[in-house]
Amino acid sequence: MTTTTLRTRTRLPAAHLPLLFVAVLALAALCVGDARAQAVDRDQVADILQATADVLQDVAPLVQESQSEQARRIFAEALQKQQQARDLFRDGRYALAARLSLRAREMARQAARVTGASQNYQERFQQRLERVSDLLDSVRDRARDAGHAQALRFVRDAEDLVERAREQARQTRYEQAYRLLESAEKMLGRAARLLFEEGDGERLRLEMERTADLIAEARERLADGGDQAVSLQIDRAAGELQRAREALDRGEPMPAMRAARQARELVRQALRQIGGGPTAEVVDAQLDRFDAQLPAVADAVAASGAAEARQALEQATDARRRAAAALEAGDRDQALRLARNALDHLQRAEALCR
Amino acid sequence: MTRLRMLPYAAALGAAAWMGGGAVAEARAAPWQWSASASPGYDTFVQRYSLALEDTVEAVSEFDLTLGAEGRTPPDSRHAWTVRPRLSAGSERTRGQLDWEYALRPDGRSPVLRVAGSAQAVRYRDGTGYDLSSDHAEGSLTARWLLARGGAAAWEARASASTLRYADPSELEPRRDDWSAGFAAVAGAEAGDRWRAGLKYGQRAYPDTTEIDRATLGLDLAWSHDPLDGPSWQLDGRSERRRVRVSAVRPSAWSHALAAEVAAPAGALRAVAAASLECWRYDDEWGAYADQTRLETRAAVRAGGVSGPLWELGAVRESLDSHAAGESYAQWGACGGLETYGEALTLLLTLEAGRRDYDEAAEDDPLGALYTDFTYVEVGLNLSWTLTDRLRLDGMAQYLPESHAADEDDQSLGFGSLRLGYRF
Repeated sequence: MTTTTLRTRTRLPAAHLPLLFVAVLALAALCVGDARAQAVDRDQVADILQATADVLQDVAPLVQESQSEQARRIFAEALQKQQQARDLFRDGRYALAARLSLRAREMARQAARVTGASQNYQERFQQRLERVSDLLDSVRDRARDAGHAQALRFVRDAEDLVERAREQARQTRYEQAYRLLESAEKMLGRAARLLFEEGDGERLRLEMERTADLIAEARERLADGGDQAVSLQIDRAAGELQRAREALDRGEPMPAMRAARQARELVRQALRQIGGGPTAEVVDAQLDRFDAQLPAVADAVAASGAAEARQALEQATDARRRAAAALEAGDRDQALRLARNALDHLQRAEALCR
Repeated sequence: MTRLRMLPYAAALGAAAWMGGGAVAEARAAPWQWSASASPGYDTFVQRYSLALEDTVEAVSEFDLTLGAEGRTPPDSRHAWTVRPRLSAGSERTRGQLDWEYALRPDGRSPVLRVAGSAQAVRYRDGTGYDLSSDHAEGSLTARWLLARGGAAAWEARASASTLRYADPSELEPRRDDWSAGFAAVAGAEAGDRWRAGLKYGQRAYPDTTEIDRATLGLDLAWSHDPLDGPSWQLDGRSERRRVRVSAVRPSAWSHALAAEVAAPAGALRAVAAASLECWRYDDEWGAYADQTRLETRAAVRAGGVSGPLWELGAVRESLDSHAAGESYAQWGACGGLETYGEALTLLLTLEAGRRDYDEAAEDDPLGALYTDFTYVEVGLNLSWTLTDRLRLDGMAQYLPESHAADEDDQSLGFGSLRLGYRF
């Protein structure tokens, strides 16, 4: 069943508008009647009043259908000015009457413009509100997942702006509402950029684990005797990585990311200076590390009976098998990547048992 | 009485889920940490325009005092809870809000299941500046479940429901009920890039005006690549079909949106190029329901960021191609921004200035063009200043003056908000 039971709520009740409409017609009729019996420049002024009455008559239904309070206010003012012009005309003050009537005409046109713009902004506001609401849901989720305090603060600011925009729209201030939504969207864009550039907590942990592997690899490759300066560089990288871990533990992802980036840059520089790709020994060391941890984790998984932990363990052993195959095929880069993946899965399986 | 009757609608979703969520919680309760805050704030909205050649200023200002609390279990606990009740009383309205969230984190890392709810009620004072608003209450419940997240890809299921009730519904404020459900493939923990491809179906019902009830089916795609050094990019696209019950009242439509941003190192700077496209196609066009395509592009350079203030300078272009008479325009501008995230002060400042030119086709209209060309300035400010361990000042402001060829078309919009927060 289809029902339409809504009414329009305005400062100027909709019921009064037909009366205004009748008043406009009456004004037009009076002006025409008066104009017939008057002198020449009186006739000119009467023409002006008539032209204004015609414009008011054209604009009245537009404003009546509009939900714009501003347009209604301007139109009411135009009607008032036209009434004053008519009074002045009756008193024989033609010049003043003409000026006031022209002003009333311009105000009626302004009301029409505001009406049209308001209807467009109303629809644009609705369109944008839905887009911003979708974006809000998506960025809020990511910020919560990451536990990123600054991004969450931006999300809350955006929520407040959306709430304010909705409030302004209820007051038919659609342009103001639209602008507030634009600000909310920019705020969400900023939150998304922070999350994108600084990564979420899980990704950051993963990056730090990979950096730790790079540091281990650099140390192993330098073990045969290398440059003292490179060794110091690796120590500095390890120090930065430790700072990153501490910052992340304190729930401060921004300093954590800075330190992690610094650590990775330092260790990469060190590896470039050492030269060559990962050696078979480096990959073997990772696989040995995996094999040493596997029995204890497998026992814990079996004891816990957790399906998700068992699945993670299967992924770990599968990655271990593929790493060994890649090493045998001579693809040491791929072998190292897979060995690290295997360790990641193993750690996850262990965590899922708790 | 009406106010009392409408409250249960909003509270129902939140309360039901709260009780359901409680059943999920395991016996060994994690310790809760609570904090509370009190914050007086002031908001003002100003619009200046010309009425009968005289400057007219409309302003709505609002003062309020908000009392809030936040309780949470340790964020890395297996069952993580957050609860945030807030009560705000002000010169224009009184608001009560309760937000809560439950997250299941089997490995103490990212959540597998997240359920969140929110309930809010607003009551306006007599003689308020918001005299067209009606008392209202709203509630929402969302759930997200991640499946098989360990590998390169994972599956995600989502569902949400919300309701909005007005004490005095009107054409501007119809009551409404929404629900949606979606399914997506997303990047898993092993994936280097973040990506997502999802489908979502939803329905919205307006009990007071069922003619505009609608159903939506949407597709969304996203891909972000950030190697932490070298070029990075983000792509985000969505398409949606909206079917309205009676299309003679409001037409059904297709909408598409695509946003892309590419950033690459350029010496000590970072070059950024971004584009955003939004497109609406209605089955039938009339009035404000006119097909339109909006395109925004931006080219900029950034400096700093990770270890200090971030500067950005660039140029923007925006165009709207609309079938609504006189609405199409092209806009050019220069933009700049400063962002700093310090221990005590977070400051965001944006500035844009430019020119918007409307198509001239509507100039023949006897009532005059709906829109006229203008030069504009947009100033935005957002700050958060930690004064002491317990005291913080938050501010937000925007000012948007427009200068048209005829002075009577000039207008400006402004908004300012200042809030002082004390944490107990």
